[in-house]
Amino acid sequence: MARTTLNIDLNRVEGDLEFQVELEGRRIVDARCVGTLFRGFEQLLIGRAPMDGLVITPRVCGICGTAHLYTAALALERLAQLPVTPHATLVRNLCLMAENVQSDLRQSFLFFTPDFVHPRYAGLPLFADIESAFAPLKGRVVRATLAASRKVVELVAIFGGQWPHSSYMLPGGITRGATARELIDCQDIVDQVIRYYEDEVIGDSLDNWLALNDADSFFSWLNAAPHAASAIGLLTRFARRIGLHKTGIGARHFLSAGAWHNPQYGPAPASLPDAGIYHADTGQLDPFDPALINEHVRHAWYRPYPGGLHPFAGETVPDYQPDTDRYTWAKAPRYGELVVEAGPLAELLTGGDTLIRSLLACEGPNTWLRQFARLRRTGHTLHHMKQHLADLAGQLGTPHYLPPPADAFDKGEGYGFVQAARGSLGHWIQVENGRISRYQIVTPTAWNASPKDSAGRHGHWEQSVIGLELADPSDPIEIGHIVRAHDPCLVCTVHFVGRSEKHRYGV
Amino acid sequence: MINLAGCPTHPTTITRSLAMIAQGLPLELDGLNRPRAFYGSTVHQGCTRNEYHEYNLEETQLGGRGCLFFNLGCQGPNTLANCNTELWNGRSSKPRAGVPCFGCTAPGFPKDGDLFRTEKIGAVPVALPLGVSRAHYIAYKNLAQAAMPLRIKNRDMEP
Repeated sequence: MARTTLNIDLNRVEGDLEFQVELEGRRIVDARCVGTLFRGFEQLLIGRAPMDGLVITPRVCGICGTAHLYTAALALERLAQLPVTPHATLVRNLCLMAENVQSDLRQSFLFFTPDFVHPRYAGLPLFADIESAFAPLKGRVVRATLAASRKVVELVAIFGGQWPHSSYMLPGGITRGATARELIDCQDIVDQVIRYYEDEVIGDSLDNWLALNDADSFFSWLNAAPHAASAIGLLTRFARRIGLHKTGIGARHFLSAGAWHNPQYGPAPASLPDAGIYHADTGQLDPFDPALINEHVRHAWYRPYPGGLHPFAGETVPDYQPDTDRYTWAKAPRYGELVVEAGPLAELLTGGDTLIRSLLACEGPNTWLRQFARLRRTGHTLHHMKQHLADLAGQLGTPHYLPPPADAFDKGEGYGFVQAARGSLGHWIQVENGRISRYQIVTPTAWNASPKDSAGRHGHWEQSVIGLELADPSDPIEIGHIVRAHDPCLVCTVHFVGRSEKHRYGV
Repeated sequence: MINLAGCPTHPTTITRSLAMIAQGLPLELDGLNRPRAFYGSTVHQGCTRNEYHEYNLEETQLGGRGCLFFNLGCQGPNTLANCNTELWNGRSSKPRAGVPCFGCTAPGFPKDGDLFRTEKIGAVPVALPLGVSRAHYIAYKNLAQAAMPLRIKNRDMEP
């Protein structure tokens, strides 16, 4: 059967992402995930003062800059073994939570659900409800989401002055502490977002939603009319109607470096308690060891080196070689020899959400479950925010910043991880003579968008589309569903570029 | 060519500039082709740490209440943007929150030197408030510091 190549440009993702798929007939037999833009953030940090990373790395990304800021501060703290007060960690966590909620809501209802409003689906019984809820710029859920996602980041502006792109997390704490007066504003913001989540997203109370603890209880819950008509109810019913619970399997191993930093910790902890590697086939959870992270460049446009390198030994020397079997500006991160998936599904599996684990055990990894896990995670995050605000009330007036010694960042190495909206994010910094000598960033999308490695193993997204049968190769909407359910962020992932003209389809 | 500068550009700057263009309203541009409506004031105008700046209560460490211009790299007094006039997210700005202005609306962003450190010649910043001469800066800062009220010296005033 003849092989054809499709080049698909994906919009409604962060950054520039292209998929090249090889078809035999209508079936995908090979896939290449292409990061098409190189910006060189890792290089431009070399030679700068160590704290400059706090200003520059948030600008890697417009939607997850707080995650980069937090990670950069953690890496410096580990380098200098600096303590941080509970007051500072509570505020940092609150700001990251606010950003993650903003991102997850926008991804769900501005990036992902527009794909449901597609002419191919117009004949389905649920289509009218889908349009009324999710039509771009007009749908009821869309308009409520615009307001809620804008509201939640006001919390970041309270502590950091602005969102996006502030630098209020410093090694040693934060630039300003919380006051009682601000606590009231934060509570109001969180309460408003919870009200939106309860009214629009789940059609139930947050407590009832978080109490759902296995697949059976969820599908029973879905039968009640207000739940079925909620955004997550509609999304679930429609996604499963079009078969999204059967596509997008992928790597089957999940990586999470943990969720929230514990406010009680002293010098940077070895590992967060809910970090781990979750294996779908066995349900086994292995501990997370950051030393096993390595990145390959065999199929990427960088100066070649054999195998994979740990970020402390990593290099990012661009070497554009089109018309070879190298095809992307994204490196191939691996955990030891494993290809892994990062994201909310990974976070909830390693963190022990029994509903998500139960759904995975029933049906395996899939596109619907991935998107569902993201919206499920939002509920957990909102609950954590309320708890954090209650804890912060007890920390008012305590120190928010412990200034580092003058020579703290003259020399050394450090790393940090946070759970960004798209999954675990890591920064690795090395300093010599008071200047950054190496800075490496491995983003969650880097894990997911990974090209093939030196052993020829495909990355997770590539695996998630290989084997897929397209209904209409000139309109590969199925790929859009699968890839967008991962919430790609390519701006973070390609550490820019020309492209050759082939057949191009927008999805 | 109209330059909506900033990293990021203020959302209001983008939406209102486009609205003004769509309605055919005049959009006067400065020497860098930025609309004066959004780049006609310095970031220092409206910073709530202004009294600390006025009376020269200059912090040497981050995390405090005082001015960040003299030591900690704040470029507010010589950066044109609407951060402290229109505010961010309807609420605040980086300098109000104790984060120095990094001058992101100007072509030199990010500057070559350390971003959290004010470059000086002797005891005087290289980059002075917009248009102020070195001699005048030294003179008025000395007088101002002598006039510093106790409430500023004690950092009683919440920015």
